[in-house]
Amino acid sequence: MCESKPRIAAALMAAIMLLSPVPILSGCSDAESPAEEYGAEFGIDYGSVDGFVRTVTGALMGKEIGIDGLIESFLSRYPGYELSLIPGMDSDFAIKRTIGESGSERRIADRIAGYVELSADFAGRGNFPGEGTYLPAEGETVSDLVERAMLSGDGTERDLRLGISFRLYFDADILTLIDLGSGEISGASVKLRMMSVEKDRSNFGLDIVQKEDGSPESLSVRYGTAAYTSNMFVSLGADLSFTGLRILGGSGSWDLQAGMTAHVDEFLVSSDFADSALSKALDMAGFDLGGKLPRLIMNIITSSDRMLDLFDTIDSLTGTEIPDVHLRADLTASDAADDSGRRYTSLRKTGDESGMEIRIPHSSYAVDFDRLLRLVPNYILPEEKADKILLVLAILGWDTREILDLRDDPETSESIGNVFDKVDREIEDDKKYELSIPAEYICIAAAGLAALLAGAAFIWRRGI
Amino acid sequence: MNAEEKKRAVAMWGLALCLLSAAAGWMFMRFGQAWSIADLPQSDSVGWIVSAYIIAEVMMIPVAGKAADRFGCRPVLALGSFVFILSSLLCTVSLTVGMLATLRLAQGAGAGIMLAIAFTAVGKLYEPSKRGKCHELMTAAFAIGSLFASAAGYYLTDTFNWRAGFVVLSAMAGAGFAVAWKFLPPTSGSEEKTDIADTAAVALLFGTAALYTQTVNDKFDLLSVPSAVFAAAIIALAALALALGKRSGNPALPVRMGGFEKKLMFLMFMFSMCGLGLIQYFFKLYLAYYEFDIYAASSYFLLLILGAAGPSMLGCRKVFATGVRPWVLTGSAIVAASLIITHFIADKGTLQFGISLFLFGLGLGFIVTEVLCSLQTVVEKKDMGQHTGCLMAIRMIGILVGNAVVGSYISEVLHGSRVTRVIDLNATGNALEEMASNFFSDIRQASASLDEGLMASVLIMAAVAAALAAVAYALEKDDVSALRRDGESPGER
Repeated sequence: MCESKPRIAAALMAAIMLLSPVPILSGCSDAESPAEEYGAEFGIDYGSVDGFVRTVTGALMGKEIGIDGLIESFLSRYPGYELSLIPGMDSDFAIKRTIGESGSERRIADRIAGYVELSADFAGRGNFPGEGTYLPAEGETVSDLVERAMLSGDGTERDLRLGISFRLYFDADILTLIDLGSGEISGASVKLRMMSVEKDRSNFGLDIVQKEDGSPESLSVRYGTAAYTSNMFVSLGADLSFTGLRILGGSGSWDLQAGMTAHVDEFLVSSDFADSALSKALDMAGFDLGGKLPRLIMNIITSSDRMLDLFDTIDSLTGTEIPDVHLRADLTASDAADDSGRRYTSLRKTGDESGMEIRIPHSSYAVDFDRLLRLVPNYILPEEKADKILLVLAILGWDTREILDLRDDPETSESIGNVFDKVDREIEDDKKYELSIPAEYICIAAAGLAALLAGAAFIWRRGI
Repeated sequence: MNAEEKKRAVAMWGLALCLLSAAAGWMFMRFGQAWSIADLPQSDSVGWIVSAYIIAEVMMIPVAGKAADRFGCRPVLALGSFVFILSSLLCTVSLTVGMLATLRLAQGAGAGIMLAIAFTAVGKLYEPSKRGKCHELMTAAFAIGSLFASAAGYYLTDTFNWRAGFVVLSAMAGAGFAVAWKFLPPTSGSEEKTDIADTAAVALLFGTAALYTQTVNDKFDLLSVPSAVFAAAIIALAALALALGKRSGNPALPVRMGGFEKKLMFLMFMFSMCGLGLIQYFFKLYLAYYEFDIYAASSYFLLLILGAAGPSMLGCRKVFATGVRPWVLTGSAIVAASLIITHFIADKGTLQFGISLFLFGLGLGFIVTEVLCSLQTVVEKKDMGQHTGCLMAIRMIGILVGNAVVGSYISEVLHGSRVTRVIDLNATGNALEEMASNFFSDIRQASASLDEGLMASVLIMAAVAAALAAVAYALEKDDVSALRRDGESPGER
């Protein structure tokens, strides 16, 4: 945990600083272009992932196997069970850029939006275990325990069903101003909306209790329909300011200051999200919730069916308006070029030569996945797993990836519009709450109204 | 006690239950409103769920009092209860926040009518010397409803659903009305026709004043241009209501009352502002101290009620004989002292909290019921609703003004103490950790500022309470004891 903290800071800093260079990332030399409007769209669906898997298995195993084949071979390890697993995936990302000039200033307005939708439907029939708690054997891992428990049937034929869907939508509007006289970024602002929706439905449940070292303590198996909805929506705005961030015409090395003020407009969380993901995420990020966040607030947040605004709830109970976040950093910038001769401005925290480097490309740009993956905290992505991912990416030829050129053609415009529309629609739909008045209150209200009207009629007849 | 007296006594319990519902209706959604309506579509109008109720309630109190003089207590109570129960039941099946806020407006109107009738009926049905016990019952119902509604609302929402609170309120009001209707003897009305324009102006005046108290701290500052415009509009409406009242043959406001009554109205307003107006902030402060344990914080209000019970029970029985002056003089001294004590010790520990609340209640126990009893003593029964309605509306406005003034002051303190924190990425190893630390220290800072703001306000209120002793001293020449010496008081007619 301690080791991961510098990485958290690094990830935060990366998030902050990456927001500003995005507008000038492209293969089209945008930062040096006159007024234009164009965009790009890029999607990955189940078919393309299947193709990647075939490429990877072909390279690693000498035989191309698709996702279905992998699932089939996995399920065939459990003879005597009728098992099926149907995965689903869809994603699309789009960027639209409008560049204009007013006076001595260039304005680069970008909208970047996209979504990822993942799902899996599992069905199984066979001799599954009875309800109860299972204890681990000596040295048994969590997955070993789960496998052993699930195969230890009690002689009863059971049907198991599990449906999981996870959707993530994001939408960012970024405005960057470049002073054409000095070649410096004079300011930038970002508006970001992000919604995650996770819905699980199953007719069984596994509760795994782990020890601090990650080893299993117990596994409980229970049957019965359960639903879990973990939703989160955040809407925030950030203003960035720079002093001395030369993009056009910089040379050598120089110091600059960066500042950011971020304001959260909405932070809606569902009770399941607050109960699990929020607590864990805040805990991992260093927000020790234990005893600090008033119990009443957590009670309120976690007992509601609908998403509640965490900040509004805190405000209504404590009178505390959550303040804006202000960050500042002294950075050292230098003009540099990568192995392929692509020029970029390199940014590092002043006096921290070994720390994280942020690159702001001058024209064409390549995403270095190795650098990006190393920014992810260890507790989220352990180093050995990152190595495996990088190996797969290398097989796919994706370890370094040229960013797609932004295009200005009707077909691209239409597909960009479709992505933006979908993101807008889904965010609005998921923010809406499906109203359901509990039946007992409808009955109480109906009975009460009938009694009230009867009473009123009785009094009226008797004379007021 | 003969059969007739027994029936009246039972009717008073029914009215007290109606009053308890009306008082609880305001505060039961006060804390965690967002949570309370969590299964309704998101809306920016959430704040109106509480505000709409109190605005309509205050607006209807003087109107209902006057209507009781015109039509008698029973039909007006029937109307108020019907509106309250109907709107409460419909609240349980609200589809939107806007619909809920509108129904809360209707519910508040019903509550205002029930509140006015509860206090008016005591004056109309009992002789001055026997009103004390009934007013004690009504005041207790009002206090319990106001002080414990937040905790009860929290419990019902946490255990069942926010809708359960409305079911309980409508059931209480229904039971109270049924008992009151069965046993309440008819009270005579008057043939004098209601002056619609005058009554509408009075309703508008009190409604606007209540609206001002609900928006001043939320939408704009106390010392700002919108606030001044609003205040000017209230003054203009007051002038209009008074002018219409003086011209009217049957005014809604007691525009021709004597100096004694005016002083009582003034004292009721000021003590409500200095005393009851602070209670919400006491509660918020307690919540912060008790790590937001709403039940622990609420339980301390028992001490306030305990403090008020003794002098109130004694005062409402004796004030008819002794006059109100000694009670208000003693009460203002104790309130001033208790506020000073609160300022110095209340935040030192739970025991000190309890002591300051007990003393605070003790002081108010000498004043509130005694002023009400005294006012009704000098009023003729045919005008009881007009005077009682006006006094109770002024009392409610006093509470709301106290709330708004203290709230504005505390907002100022909170605002002044807010520090803009800048996280220097060069100096910190973990920006998120620093953000977390800032976040929690902001909450602590807010609690401390709330404490500081309240404690400063408390001292100012103490000075005001002490100054009110001078007004109380000036009550002597018109006091009810003098009226008693001169013979039958108007309240007996």
